[in-house]
Amino acid sequence: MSDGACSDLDSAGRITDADLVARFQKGSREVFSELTERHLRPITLIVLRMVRDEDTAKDIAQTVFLKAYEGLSSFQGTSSFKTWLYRIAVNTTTDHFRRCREHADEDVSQLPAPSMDCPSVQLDKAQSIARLRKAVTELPEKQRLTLQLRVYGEMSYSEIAEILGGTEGGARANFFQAVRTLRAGTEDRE
Amino acid sequence: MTNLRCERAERLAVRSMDEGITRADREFLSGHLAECEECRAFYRDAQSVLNMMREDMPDELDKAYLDSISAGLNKRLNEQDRRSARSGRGIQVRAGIAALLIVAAAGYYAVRQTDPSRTEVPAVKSAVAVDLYSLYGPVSDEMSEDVATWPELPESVETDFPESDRAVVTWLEPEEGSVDPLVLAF
Repeated sequence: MSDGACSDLDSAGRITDADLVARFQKGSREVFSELTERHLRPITLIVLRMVRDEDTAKDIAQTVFLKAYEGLSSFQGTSSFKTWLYRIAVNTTTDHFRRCREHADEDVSQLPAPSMDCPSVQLDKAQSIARLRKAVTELPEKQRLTLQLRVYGEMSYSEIAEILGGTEGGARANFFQAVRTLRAGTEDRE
Repeated sequence: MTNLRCERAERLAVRSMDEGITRADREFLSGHLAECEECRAFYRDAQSVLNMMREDMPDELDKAYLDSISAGLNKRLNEQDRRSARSGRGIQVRAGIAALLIVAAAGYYAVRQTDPSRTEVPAVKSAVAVDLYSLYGPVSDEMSEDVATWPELPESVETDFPESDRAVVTWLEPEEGSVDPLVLAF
């Protein structure tokens, strides 16, 4: 739909998210499908990397977009739509872990790691990865989320700071502390 | 970690694996790692941790998987829109009923004020406030038409009945159990 105004284009020559959001807020609900199409893949990917279960990731991803649909009319635009969406994704995933923390712990340790190595090496690797996954779940929340957004979401520290709150330096420090804690954790158990 | 140089080396080590460091920092880091076994171990382990994390994540998503998410999402969005529409209609219906009630009540009071059957009765002398329900139970039409058939009112109730034994009675029927006083006009 065109509202008669000139649309800003992003680097890929598409209408910007901000423009689509403005159209949605003026009543063009159908533009939400375009926003979904743009962000569904990266949001689902990071959620899947965090929860490691396709069904759970599917449900969380849908919930994220449903919440976005519900809240978009009152979205103030103080951050970018993408940042806002990731914030919803992080909060929804965190809520999921809070609700079923013990199950999440069991789940991560049961998954085998994909590998082309011989069975004994594969087993060692699977055990190391299971330990690492467990250690990640045991990190303080902010460190864990920073690490996951940085590694799984390949986000900049300024984006992470926007999503989680805090400063870029704080996000960098959290990442460092997370790696340090994980290194210590995996070292203790070896 | 033994000193400030080690602390700096650890931070640079993680940053070098993450976002890259300047040439000067790289020179410092490689020089320090060459002479500090503890920091070498940290560098090796931290790199292993990050590599393991990067290896241990799905790279891409199946199109069928994404399509199923989209389909499920659309279904949930449609359900939500239907719910919102129903809720909106419900609000409209309730608002409509409320408006009708207000109009009906206003009309009722207007009619009451100009009711010819009231103005035609010369005996309209007073209003008696009585908890009629608690005295007599539910009021019947017959009672309203023939004051003579009413049971005797207690002395405490101030009355000024008309000479005529017939009068037009207007009241608001209370809910059962209610003790709200009724206004009777004669």
